[in-house]
Amino acid sequence: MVALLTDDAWVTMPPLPHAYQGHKAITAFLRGSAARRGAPLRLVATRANGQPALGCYLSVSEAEVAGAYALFVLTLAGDQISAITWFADSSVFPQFGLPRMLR
Amino acid sequence: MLVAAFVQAFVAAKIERRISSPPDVITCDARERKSWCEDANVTEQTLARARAGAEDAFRDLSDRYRRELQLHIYRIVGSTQDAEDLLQETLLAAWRGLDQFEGRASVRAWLYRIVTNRSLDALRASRRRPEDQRTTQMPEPTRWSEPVWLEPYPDVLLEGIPDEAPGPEARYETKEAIALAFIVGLQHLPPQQRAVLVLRDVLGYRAGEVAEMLETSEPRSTASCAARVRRSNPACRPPSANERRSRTPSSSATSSAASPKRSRTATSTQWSPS
Repeated sequence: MVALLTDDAWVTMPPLPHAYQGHKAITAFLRGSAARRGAPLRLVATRANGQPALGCYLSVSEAEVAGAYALFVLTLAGDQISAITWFADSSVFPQFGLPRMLR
Repeated sequence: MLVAAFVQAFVAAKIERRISSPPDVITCDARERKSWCEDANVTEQTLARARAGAEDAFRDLSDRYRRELQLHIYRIVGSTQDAEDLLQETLLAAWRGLDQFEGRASVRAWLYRIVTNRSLDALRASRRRPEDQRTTQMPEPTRWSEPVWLEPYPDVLLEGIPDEAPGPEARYETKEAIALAFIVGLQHLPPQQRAVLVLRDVLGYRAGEVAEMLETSEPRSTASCAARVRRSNPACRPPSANERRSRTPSSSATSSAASPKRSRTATSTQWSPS
C-alpha cells in the first residue's frame, strides 16, 4: 500500500492524536501495527464519506473466522493515496452493511 | 495488490460518473427555483392532514428529508450512530410540535431548525472530549494533531439526497461537503460555528434565516471559519501538492485552491485512470 502513497501522504487515526507523514514514517507505523496484531488483516471494500474505504477483519488465533477490527478511509489525489484515516472502532460496521465476522 | 486494484476501480468509476453527468451549472434563478421546488411536493392537503393527527401524512412530509437531515446531524455531531438516534428524536419532536409550524418557512427549513438545535443540545449535554492518549505503544508520530471525535459515514446513506442547486450563501458543493477532510475540519470548530457554516455554506440559507433558525443575532461572515476548515487538516488540503503537480500548468491550480466549486470541474477533466 505504501507504493500507492503520495510523498506527502498522512496517516491519522481519530480520536488518537498520532499523525504520520511520508513513506518512512508510515512504513514504520504500519510495520509496528502489523507486528502487534500478529496476523494479517482481511480487507473488504466499501465506501465512506464519498471515498473508497476498507473494512478490516482480524483472524482469531487458528480459527477460520475473522472478527471486525477497524475501518480505514482513503483520500485520493488522482490515482494515488494522499491520506489514510484509520478508525479503530468497528461498531459502525452494521451501518456499512459489513458483517461482524468473516468466514 | 487488492488495494491498488480497488483504488484504480474507484478512480475509473468516478471519472465515468463525471463524464456521464452534465456539468454543475448554477444559474442565476437557482434561488427562485429552489425555494419554489423545496416544498413543491408538500401539499396543503398533506400538511392539513398531518396537523389533524394523521401519522401517515406526517411521514409523507418528513420522509423525503430524512436522509439529508441525518447527514446534517452527522456533520455537526461527527457520529454516524448518534445521527441516527438524533434523527428519530427530532422527527418525534417535530410530530409533537407540528402545531407550532407557522408556515412562514418551508417544512424543510423548519425541520432543519429543529434538527440543528437538537444536535447542538446533544453536543452540550455529552461534552464528549476525546482523551489525549499519547501513551500508547505506537512509534513517535510526525506530529501530534488536535484530537477530534469522529466516525466515518457510509455512502449508502447518501443515496437519494437531492443534489439541488445550493442557495446564494453556499460555498461548497453538497458532495464536497461530505469528504472526510471537510468533516474533520468542521469538528475543529465550536459547535455553533459548525452549524452556521453548514447551514450557510453548504445548504445555502441566508444569514438572516440562519439567525432565525438558531435564535441568535445574525452570524458574521463564515469566510474565516471556512478557511479554517480547509487549513485544519494538512492531510487533505484541496488540492494536494501532488495533484497540483499532475495538472497542466494553467490558472486552474490557483483558481481551484481558492474556489472549491471550480476545483471540482477542473479536476474532473484532468484526472487520469492510469
